Amino acid sequence: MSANTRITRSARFARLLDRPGFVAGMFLSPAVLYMLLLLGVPFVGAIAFSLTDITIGMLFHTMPSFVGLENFASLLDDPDFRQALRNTFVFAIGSQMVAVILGNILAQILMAEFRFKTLFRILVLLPWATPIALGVLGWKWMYDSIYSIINWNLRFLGLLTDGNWPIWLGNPDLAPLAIILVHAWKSFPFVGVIILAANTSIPRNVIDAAKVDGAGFFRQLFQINLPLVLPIVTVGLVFGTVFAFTDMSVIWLLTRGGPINVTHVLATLAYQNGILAGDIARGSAISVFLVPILGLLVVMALRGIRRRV
Amino acid sequence: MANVRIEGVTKSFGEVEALRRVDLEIPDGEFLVLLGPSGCGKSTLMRIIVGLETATSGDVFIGNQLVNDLPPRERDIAMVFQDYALYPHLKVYDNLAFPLKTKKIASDEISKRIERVARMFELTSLLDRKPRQLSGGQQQRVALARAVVRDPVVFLMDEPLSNLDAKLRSAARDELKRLQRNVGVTTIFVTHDQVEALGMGDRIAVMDVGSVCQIGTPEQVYSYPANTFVATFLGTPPMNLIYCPEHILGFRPEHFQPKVLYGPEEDLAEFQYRVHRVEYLGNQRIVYGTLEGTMANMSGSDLVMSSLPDSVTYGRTLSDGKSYEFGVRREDLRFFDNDTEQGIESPSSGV
Repeated sequence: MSANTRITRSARFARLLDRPGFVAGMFLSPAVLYMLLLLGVPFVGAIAFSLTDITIGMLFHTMPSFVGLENFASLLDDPDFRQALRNTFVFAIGSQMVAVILGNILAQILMAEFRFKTLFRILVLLPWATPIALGVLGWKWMYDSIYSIINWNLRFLGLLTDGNWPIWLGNPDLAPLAIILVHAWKSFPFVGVIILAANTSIPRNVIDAAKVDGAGFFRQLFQINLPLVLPIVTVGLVFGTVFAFTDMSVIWLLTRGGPINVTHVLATLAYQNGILAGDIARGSAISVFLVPILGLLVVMALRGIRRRV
Repeated sequence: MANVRIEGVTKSFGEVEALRRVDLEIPDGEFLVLLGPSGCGKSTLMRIIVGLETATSGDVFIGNQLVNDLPPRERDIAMVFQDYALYPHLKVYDNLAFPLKTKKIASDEISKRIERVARMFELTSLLDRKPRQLSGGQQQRVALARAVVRDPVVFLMDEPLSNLDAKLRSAARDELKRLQRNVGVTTIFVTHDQVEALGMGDRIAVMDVGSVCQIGTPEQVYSYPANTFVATFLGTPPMNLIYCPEHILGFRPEHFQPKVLYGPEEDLAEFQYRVHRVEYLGNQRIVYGTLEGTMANMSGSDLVMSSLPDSVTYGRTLSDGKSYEFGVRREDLRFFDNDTEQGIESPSSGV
């Protein structure tokens, strides 16, 4: 009789689409499903495994027994674990510090005008764009005990003699440094681009005002530029730190945690214990150990973003 | 305090010539206004004086010292920017302290100076605020205070009033002018607003497409424009231009009045004027119309305008479409060359 009774199915669907709640749910559900299945389930699984004595040999036929926090207690007694925990922090923080310094220098260079700037920009962004495995293989050759291009160049410059040839990846003192350098190399272009972007958001007049007010290069940099870009750069740094915290490809490809376990981080140690050695419970405990730290970092990142808005 | 002298300054950005051989001399203590439409090069000229841009050729002298190669920090010029350019992360106090710290002034001297300047600009209660917590007018006062606190030899102001609303602007105009008189510092004030220029400048330099067309007191540039650009850029409504065969004839709308308003002894140029429309603006009426007789069609496509104060009651009787006798005192007529459009002495062949 009225228009209402003759609503077709497609019209009813169209009305459903008018409701923001329905549309939001529809668009969000694949992502939520993806996160639940591929992140949520293994995460809960890892927590559960870390509280048991499960090993790879028991899978599918023996019921693991609940052992409480025993895995964690034994980890804290293990010097290898403590070393890996320390390394996780040292590598992440050390590499980010180097990346900030290099990134800031890079941003200052990219702000200047010079010939071949486009070419320079492409070259400088390469580390960031290169697949990590390829880049690390290149570094592996540069750090090679016999063919190291670094050593050959240092010798050519007369800074090295055959007697004190550094074995980059074999020396327990040098290997951590070598890894920090690769991490920094990988992330400094990104940090540089973030600093550059943050710098371009500073009104040009503010910089001009500082120049007129008598500020030289360093005063401008430390009292105007850096304080103004800091909130944005902090967010970038937190992301970089999370990356360095969780990355295992660089270490695995370069040293596999060696020599004598001095370059293990939690991620590589968890992989070695849980997957390679088959001690799933211990591997899970190691990886779960990172959660509170990463949680804190994520909260900091979100806070930083909110402060910008 | 110092004079500023600019000699043959040219600035090119690639193919574009932003400034073309500009000469300008500003005596010590003068308030000079650089007036011109946007894109005329006035901001570029100011940036060259302060040292933020380098001239392609030509010399800049401050206090008779050649400063071409000095960076801004060695020129001792204070600048007020259009958007104030306060340091957003610093409190008002630290904004004011910034230029003093770069001069390595002792901190108790800094606080003494800031206290004085804060009182002067009524900022004492705002010293702990960040710029974003201030209103537009307050930010503008901080920007001025930051310039004054330095005790510079020259002030440069790049449209510092244009972000204020109309009411604040006229008050700020007066304050700024009084401030400059008190401090007595040579000031170069850039604007595209003729009211600011006429009201504040000791002298006005009118600029167009990269060069200075005329320098003079407000009365000189308004009454005796050097060319047709100055004639039409200054004045609302602008000067009427009549393109006669021998020359261009100019007269201001307020000098173009109904003949009946003049005394019988006055020496008038008379025109037959057909009124098209009368626009009532409260304090005045703007009359739009065309000349008739021998002068018809000589005003180009533009209408000839007359502006009558509301106190002239005769203006109320003018009606659309009718023709009236209008006149201009001969002393108020201006003449420009047909080809160069430059002002010329009144020609012998009369109107």
